[in-house]
Formats: sequence, C-alpha cells, structure tokens
Amino acid sequence: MRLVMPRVLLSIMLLVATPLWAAEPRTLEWPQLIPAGAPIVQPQTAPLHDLSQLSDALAAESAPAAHQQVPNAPVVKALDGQQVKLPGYIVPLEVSEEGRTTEFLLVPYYGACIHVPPPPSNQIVHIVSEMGVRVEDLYQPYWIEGRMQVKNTSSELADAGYQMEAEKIYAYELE
Amino acid sequence: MYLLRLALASLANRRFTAFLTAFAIALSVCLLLAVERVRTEARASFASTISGTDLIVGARSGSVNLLLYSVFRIGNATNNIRWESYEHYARDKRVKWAIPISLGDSHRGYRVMGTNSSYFEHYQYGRKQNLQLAEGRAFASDPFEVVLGAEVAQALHYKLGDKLVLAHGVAAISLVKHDDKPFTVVGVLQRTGTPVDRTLHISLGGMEAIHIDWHNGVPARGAGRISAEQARNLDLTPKAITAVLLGLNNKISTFSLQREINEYRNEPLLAILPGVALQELWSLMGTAEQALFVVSLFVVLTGLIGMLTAILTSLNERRREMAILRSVGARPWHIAGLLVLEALALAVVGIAAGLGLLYLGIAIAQGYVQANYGLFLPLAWPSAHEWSLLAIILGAALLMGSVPAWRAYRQSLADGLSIHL
Amino acid sequence: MASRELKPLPPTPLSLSESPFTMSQALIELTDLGFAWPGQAPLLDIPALRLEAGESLFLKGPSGSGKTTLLGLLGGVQQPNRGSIRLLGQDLSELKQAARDRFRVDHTGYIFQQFNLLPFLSVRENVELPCRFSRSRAQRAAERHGSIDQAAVSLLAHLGLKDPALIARRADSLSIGQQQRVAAARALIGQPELVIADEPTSALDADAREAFIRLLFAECRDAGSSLLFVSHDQSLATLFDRQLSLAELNRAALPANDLEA
Repeated sequence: MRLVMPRVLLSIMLLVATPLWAAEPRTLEWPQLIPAGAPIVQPQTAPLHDLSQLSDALAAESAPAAHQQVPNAPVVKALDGQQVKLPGYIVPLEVSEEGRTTEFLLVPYYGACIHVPPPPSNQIVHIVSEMGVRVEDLYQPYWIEGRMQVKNTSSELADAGYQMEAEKIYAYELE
Repeated sequence: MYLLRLALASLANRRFTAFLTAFAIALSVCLLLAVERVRTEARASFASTISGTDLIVGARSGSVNLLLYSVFRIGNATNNIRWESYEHYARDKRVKWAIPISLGDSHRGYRVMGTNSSYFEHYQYGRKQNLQLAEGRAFASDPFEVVLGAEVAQALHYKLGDKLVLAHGVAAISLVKHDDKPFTVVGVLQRTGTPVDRTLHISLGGMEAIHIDWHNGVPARGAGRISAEQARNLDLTPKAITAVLLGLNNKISTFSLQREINEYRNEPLLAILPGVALQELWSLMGTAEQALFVVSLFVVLTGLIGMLTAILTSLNERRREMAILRSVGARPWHIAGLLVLEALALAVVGIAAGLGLLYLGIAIAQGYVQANYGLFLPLAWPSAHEWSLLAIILGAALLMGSVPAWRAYRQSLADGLSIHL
Repeated sequence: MASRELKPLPPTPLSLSESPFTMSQALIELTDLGFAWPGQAPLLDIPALRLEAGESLFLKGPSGSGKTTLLGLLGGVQQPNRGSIRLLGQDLSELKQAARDRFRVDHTGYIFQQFNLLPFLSVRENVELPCRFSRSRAQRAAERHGSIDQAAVSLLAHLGLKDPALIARRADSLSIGQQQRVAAARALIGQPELVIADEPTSALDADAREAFIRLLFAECRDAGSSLLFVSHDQSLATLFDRQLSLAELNRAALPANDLEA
C-alpha cells in the first residue's frame, strides 16, 4: 500500500501534466533558429586587413563594408506554427501614442560594438504586439511568447525571416 | 453623517483660513497635474509624429540630432548628403520607398521642406496614417508651388492661389528673402497634430530653383541673377539633400541595411531607426522629467503641511468647541473623527479646485501652446495615472489629518467637560 | 408622566415615586468617594451623597472646592481612586470609557456657566445636539413631541424663545440670557433623568436669575428629571428641595478661608 499510493499519485499527476506540457510554449535559444547544417559562414573579424593601417582612422571606411553576410540566411521551417518562448532585446519600430511599442525587432544582443556585423536575418524576429510593451530601457531583455511564423519568400527582394505575433511579453529577470 | 455636517459647519466658521488652505492645495495639485500632463502629451506627440518609417538617413552627426531635425524640425543638420547617395539607396532592392527631404529655409518662422511626391504617398504618422489633403493638390511640375501644413494656413490666413515669399534661414524674422521667386499655394494638408502642420512643402526642384543663383551663400546681383522664368527651364535636380526617409520591403533587413549605410564608403552617412532614436531622446529627457515631477510632489507636500499647520493652530481655539461636544455626548473618537473629516474635506475641495484650475489653464493656454510648441494639451478626463496620484494626495491628507485628530483626542480626554480654560 | 422604555441598565426597576421613604433607586449614589489629581493632595473625600429621582438639589461649592472635578466624576469623565459612583443603579467604574460617555449622554443633560453653545450652529441645531449622539434621547424626544425638531421648538417655546426667526439664527447672535435658556433646552431635550447645572446663572443679571431657575424647575418637573444645581450663590438655595454644601460634605475640603472665584 505504501508503495502503490505514491505511484498512483505520480501517474495521475503525469496524466494531468502532459496536456499542460503540450500547451506550454517551447523555450527557444537563439542558436536553434539557425538550421543545422547551414553553410558555414566565414566569420568576418576585424575590418582592418592591414595592421599597419591600425592608426589610420579612415582605414575602417576603406575596408569592405560589413554588409549582411548572408542576405538570405536559411531558416528552420519546422519552427513554423510552434508556440515558442524566446528571450531577446527589443528594437522598437512603431511606438503608440501612449508610449507602448507595438512593433519591434527582437535581437539576441544589443548595442554591440561596430566591429562585428549585425545579427544575420535568421537571428532577428519581427514581432507585432497589439497591446504593446512600454520599453523604458533599451538594454532590458524581455521574454516573448507567441506562435512563430517562418516566411520564406521566393523573391530575391525580401529577406526570409521569422515573424511572430506576441501573446505575452515580460521582463527577463536574472534569477 | 452628522459628524461631516459638524466638520463642514466648523470649517465654514473659519472660512477665510479654510479657503486659503484649500487654495494652496488646489494650486499645488494643479501644478503637479499640469507637469504630468505636459510630460505625457509631449511623449505622445513625439511618438505619434512618425510611423512606418524604418530608417532615416542623413549626414553623419548624432542619432538624436538627426531625428530631431528631420522629423521634428528642431535643430539643424550639420551637413547635407549627396544626391547620388540618395539614388543609390532608393534603387536598392531592399528599399520599398525613399523620401528625400531638404531643409534650411523658412517662411515667417515656419520651416520649409523640399521633397517629392513620394512624401505625400508614403509618409505616415500616428498609427500608420497617411497625409491627406484638405484642399487643393500636391505640387506638380512647376517648381514654384507650395503645399501648406494646416497650422501654417490657419495662422497666416493663406488660401489656395495665394502667393508667398520664402526666406533664407530658419529665424522668425528673416533678413534675406527669395523675393524674386514667389511661390503659389496649391494645396493645404489636413491637420495631423504633428510638426507637418507647421511646415511648408515645396518640391526639390523649387528648393533648387531659389538657390540656383546663389554663390557662396550670397544671392546673386545684377547680371548673375536668374529669374523665376529662366529657372523653370533649367535642370532642377538637386545636388544635395538633407535627409532620406526609407521604408523597407522586409523589416528584418533593417539592421543589415543600417550597417551598410553607416559604412558607405562614398560619403559619411548616418542611418537611424526612428524608434530607437526616440527611445534615446526620451532617456535624455527622462532625468529632467523626473526632477520636475519630484519638485511638484514637494510643492503638494508643502500645501498639505500648510493644511496641517492651519488645523493644528485652530485646535487651541477650539478646545471649548470640543468640550461642548463632549458634554452633549461626543466620544473622544468622535472628536478625532471630526478633525480627520475636516482634513479630508479641505483636501477634497483643494483637489477638485486644482482640477478645475488645471482645466481652466488648459482651456486658456491650449491655443498658444499648440501654436508655439506644437504640443496639443487635450481637455480630457484625468487618466488612470492621474487618478492614482490624486488618490495618493488624498491619502496623504488623511494621514496629515490624523495628527491633529490624535492631539484633539488626547486633549478631549484630558479636558473632559470643563470649558473653563 | 411620559412613559419610559427599558434602558440597557441593571434589572432594578425604576421608581417614579418622589417619596424619600420608599426604597427606590436613587438617581445618584456616591459611596466613599475618594479622588486626587495625579501628584497632588486628595481633592475629594465624600463618604456619601444621594440624589433621588425628580429631586432638585442645591450644592454650594465655590470654585476650587473640587466641584468641577466632582461633576467630572459624576459624568464619568474621570474615574475615582476609591469608592463607587452609581447613576441610576449603574456603577460607572464598571463601564469602559466609550460606554461611560454613552451613558452620560443617554441620561444626563448639562448646563454650564457660559459658552454652552456651538457658535456656528443655529439655535435649534444646538438644542438637537444630544439627540445626535444619543439614540435613546432621540427616541424619547420623538415619542413625546412627534419629532426631534418639534421637541426642540417646543422646549424653546417653554423657555420663552418662541420666535422662529430667532431659532434659526446662529447661536452666538443671542444675548447671554437667551443663550443660557437655549442651553437649558438642550440639557432637557429627550428627557434625561438627570440635569446637572454648573453655575448656570452666574453670568446672568439678578432679575434674570430667578426667572431662569423657575423655568428650569418647571421643565425638569415636566420631564421628571432630577436637578443637581451647583453654585456659590447662597441666595438661590431656598428655591430647591434640598441644599448641601460641598465644603461640609467633602472631608478633604480646605478650611473656610479658601479662595472664591
């Protein structure tokens, strides 16, 4: 009897919990947005190729522009339609009258130094939120929960990318 | 509640002091709410000025500076950018639309902006609202046509067909005018509640035409002068403009394009995300706003302390009053309650009067503030935030009132029924 | 006599008889009362004091003799160090502060020497004050006269203040004599069993004094209230049923050559 009861209890809990797990958004990490086996991109390090020009302030400008390395970075199609949860920094695009950011880009890092190219298109999520979030501090990361949409436009004009309609936005606290 | 009736009757007996106290509270509440309202409205007004623009490109200065002069017409550009740079990016596959703008002239204090038809097509404000014409049309092929913002037309009483002369520079009183090339009003925009209302819009060709015979910053004289008629026949493609507003096909390409523009080798350019620059602007203003808020809170506190002082000093004269009340059956807590009610009554009247003063002030100053600062202060009911501020003030008054209430409680216990002081 | 409803008091039934031979409930019964202000010499030491229902008692007590303190004790404002004070059979020290306050207003009306009235209320509102703080007095007043308002008007009329315009005026706009009569009306509204008058006529001129007292007597008799009248004016003593001297009653009293107010 002593052994049966905890087991029964455990199985009941699991039965109840599983549907909850199914509804629970999947916590994503940024590397998961890059498909496995994507072509390895040669990392562009310092824009200065000639160290003798280190002191030359214009050297950075004469170096090739650090444009987006991979204009159409590959995306993980499997994430389309999934309920996910992703932490990141908010870069506001549209701000409502009340001061709430209703459309923004979510990025894995913010205010990065100029020596590194900006995040590739598969490390940026374009998010809209009807309710919006009041962004007081650009350096505050947030958790965003919602259904991920993966768009892969065939036309060469647009970059493919991740989009989401945010259902929940809350601050990311360091535990 | 009979106690309330007694409290009010007692206050009415000391109505001059009561009035002064309530008035002090009213003034401080009005100040606090006014500060809050201006702050909120300024933010809202800034936030609603631009919408749907992904990047703003200008000469390399500072991001807040670029935002301020290109969108809010505050401040000036340090440099212009070359026409070729504009064309390069306007043709870029990632760019959906590009609006070139050119600043630097004015008309009776209102700024003049040179642009092309894509401005009327693509510029948005508020919640993705496009510009609408209230009357007339946008400028067309003739370079000397101007479209007025709503505020300009209203304040200067212009209508379609009127002719006006632009001045060089942005001061309200201009000493150097382009009077050989007058402009005709062909359109007036609907009110937007943004700096667009206070702008005169001309074509880039028009902007080029009025400066075409200027050399080294000085208008030409004599033979060097080119008349308006002559100018019409010249090639009026500008060589330089002040800034470009970009709308992209896919917002995800924002960062990469921004980085590319910032590192453009042909010219030192700066590309900003308006949302980010706005946030930076707000964080700059934030400290000042907070300081102002704290100061006005202190003013309210001063008003409440004034009330506390007034009630405390009246306590002594009213010992008789309290002894009489005790003799007719008032318990000590009745006496304390009486004083708390008094404080509350004063606070409520003060707050109500403060609100009244605020609305009166807004009603009077609304037009002036809008015309001179572009800030629209609405005559709206207090927001949830404002209500909570008022509730806190009421709570503070209650707290203040409990001080004389406690004193009176102890006094009435000690004095008992004796009115022989 | 107006009927009296049951009051929340100890079960001994009240007797309306004025005969001193009946073993009736005394209105006031002081036994072995001792009181001293903290840090001072004993002020009051009264072995016994008794006031019957419907009786009028003149208590001679100059200022400084402790009469104010005695009245305070009778009102339940202070507590005696020793002994008991029974009002209508209720030992006041058994009640808590708030209960004593309520008991006082339910059963006692007060008239002071001066400044009886709240200056910012009208005459009528002043009279109605006790009914605002005592439900039983409000009920009794309404039962007897129809409404509290009527009770006030009627009492004022009995005391010679009939003019409605006068009644609506601020209390501080009346003469001293008029104010004292208003105070009397206030003390009597709702038929309290006890009326305590502390030098009520000292501020009045000689002619007005006797008239005032006669009016007071009439009203007290009409309401069935006892009257405890404290004064230093000996000449009035003869009007009363009984007279006592606080100096004689009080064992802790100072010798005869004490200060008079």
